[in-house]
Amino acid sequence: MLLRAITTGLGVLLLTACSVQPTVDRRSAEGMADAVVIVIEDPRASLRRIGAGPGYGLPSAYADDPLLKRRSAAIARDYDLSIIDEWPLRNLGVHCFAIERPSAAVLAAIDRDERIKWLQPFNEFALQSNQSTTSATSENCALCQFKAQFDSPGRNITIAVIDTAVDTDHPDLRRSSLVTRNFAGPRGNPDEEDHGTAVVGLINAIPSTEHGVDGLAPAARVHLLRGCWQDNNAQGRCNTLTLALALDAAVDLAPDILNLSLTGRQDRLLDELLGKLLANGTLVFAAHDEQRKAEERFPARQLGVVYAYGVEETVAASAPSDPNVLYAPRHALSLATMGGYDLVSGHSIATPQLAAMAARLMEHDASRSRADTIQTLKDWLKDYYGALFAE
Amino acid sequence: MIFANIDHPEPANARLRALTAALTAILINPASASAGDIGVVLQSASDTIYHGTPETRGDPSFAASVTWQPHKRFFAGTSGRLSPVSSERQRHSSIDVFVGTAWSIGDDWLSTLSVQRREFPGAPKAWQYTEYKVELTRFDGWRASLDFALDYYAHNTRAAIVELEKTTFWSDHWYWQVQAGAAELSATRLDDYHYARISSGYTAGRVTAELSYGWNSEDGTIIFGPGQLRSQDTVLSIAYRLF
Repeated sequence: MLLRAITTGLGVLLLTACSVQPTVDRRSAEGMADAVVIVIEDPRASLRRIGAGPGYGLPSAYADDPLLKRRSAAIARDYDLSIIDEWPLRNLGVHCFAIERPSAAVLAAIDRDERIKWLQPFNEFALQSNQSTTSATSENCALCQFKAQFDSPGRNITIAVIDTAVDTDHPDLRRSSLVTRNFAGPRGNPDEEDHGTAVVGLINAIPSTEHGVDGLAPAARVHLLRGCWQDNNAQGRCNTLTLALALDAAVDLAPDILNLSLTGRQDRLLDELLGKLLANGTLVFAAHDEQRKAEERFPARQLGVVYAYGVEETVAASAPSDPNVLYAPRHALSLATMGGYDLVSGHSIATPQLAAMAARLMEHDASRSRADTIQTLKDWLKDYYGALFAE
Repeated sequence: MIFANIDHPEPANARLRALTAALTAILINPASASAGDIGVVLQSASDTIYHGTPETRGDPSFAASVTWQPHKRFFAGTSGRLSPVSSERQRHSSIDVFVGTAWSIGDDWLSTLSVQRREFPGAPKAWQYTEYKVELTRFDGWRASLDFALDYYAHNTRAAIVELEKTTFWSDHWYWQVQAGAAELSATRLDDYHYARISSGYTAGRVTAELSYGWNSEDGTIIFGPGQLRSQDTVLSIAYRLF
């Protein structure tokens, strides 16, 4: 009798649990541009967070713990807030939830609340590239010279790329060791996203025909973390949520190199995650930002961060002279979706070329430090372009 | 043969009941709830496999566990299990009480040292024993543990059991898990054994469902007293995280 009652109770409980699962991914909700992110300590104790010790039974998804939702719901109730989405970040030990922007008075009250670590805007970011209108050759001179000089295709080097989806069925990527994960949810159309395909192609492509694209670091282990997507106008977009999740996964990977072909305003959450990567020795390549000063952007100027600036055959006088900026070809022939090829250009196309060059240098001399890699790259580019880099 | 029948009177363990009652009182006390992290998990399984051997003679069971971690260095909890009896009642119900201490090792590892008392109320003979466990867990799903018992299942034998497990999420919701273990028993009349298990599971929200296939070096045939029990190779488990 007791057993039947328990069985019935558990059955009802499970059915109830299944029926209340959200059927719509809230991350796809529009209108997050004016949202605010509240960051609190992850309320879970270590045992529960890691699923260790007796008592926790079967594994469960890190982000699906009801305790997280209870804590965020309690704060939301106290201030009459509407939660748009929420997510924990393992490597920071925090739980974040995005809310619809309340009044200034309520925001000030939340900011004083001891349960809250910090408040920040929910930022949006953009990818920086477009189809090229120039007639760039398929094999850039700078790159073929570099390849000849450093005959090391990036073996044992791990590169994390945070970008849009990639066409993993592309013939020139079939033999690469590419691994992909999606943190952008159902946004965009992963089958039609060219940006990530072009960026990964420049690093990791292995030509399937004599006309194929020959990536600069075809032997590198590339992890494409889809933290961005392309909108209806084919513009690449990312936000605090998708980039934070992708960066959190990147910290777990502890890559040698991180490729960020994107730009946007300063974001504390992303800066903290990037700090973890930099502390682990990762070399970060990010696209140059035409709009913002290095101190006001993500990623901010710091040791281990290199900004990629795309240049034509020669370096124009208007190119920035900054110790953190390196030049690379602005135009390139790379992969496109549906097994195609395209000429692409922009600072974000210069970024993966520098990242792959760094991978070749790291393999060429494994004892080279991060600073040495940057300096060697800088010296080589200085010789090639005849340009003076700021020190 | 893993465990032969040894007759013991069923213990009326008043201390265990008192400890369980005290722990339950602490756990359900709202004041203590705010002082620590309490997790409650309900689980049902088509068979109960513990250290590679079946405990419920292949019968399904329902279980509930409560874990309380009031401080990063300390945890305690209890779990109870009930199973319908299709043949002779043996370990069809159990109550476990555990306390332990936890240390983080760097950013990625957590180690725990715990002691667990296991009781099997209603069994016609004694099975109860105390288990000491050292466990090392890595955030990416690696787990290694060493269990030691002075009188394993009240069978006048010491036991040392090592287990290695890897859980990998291959999407937000799906995971697979492999586990391998070996048990060494001091009594010469009992055979040492080893075991392995491979599982795949789906987790969404509070619910986790898992299907596993297990293997035991005893070929699944475990002798429990008067009869033999063939362990189910495939086990379906469903867990619900209540709190």
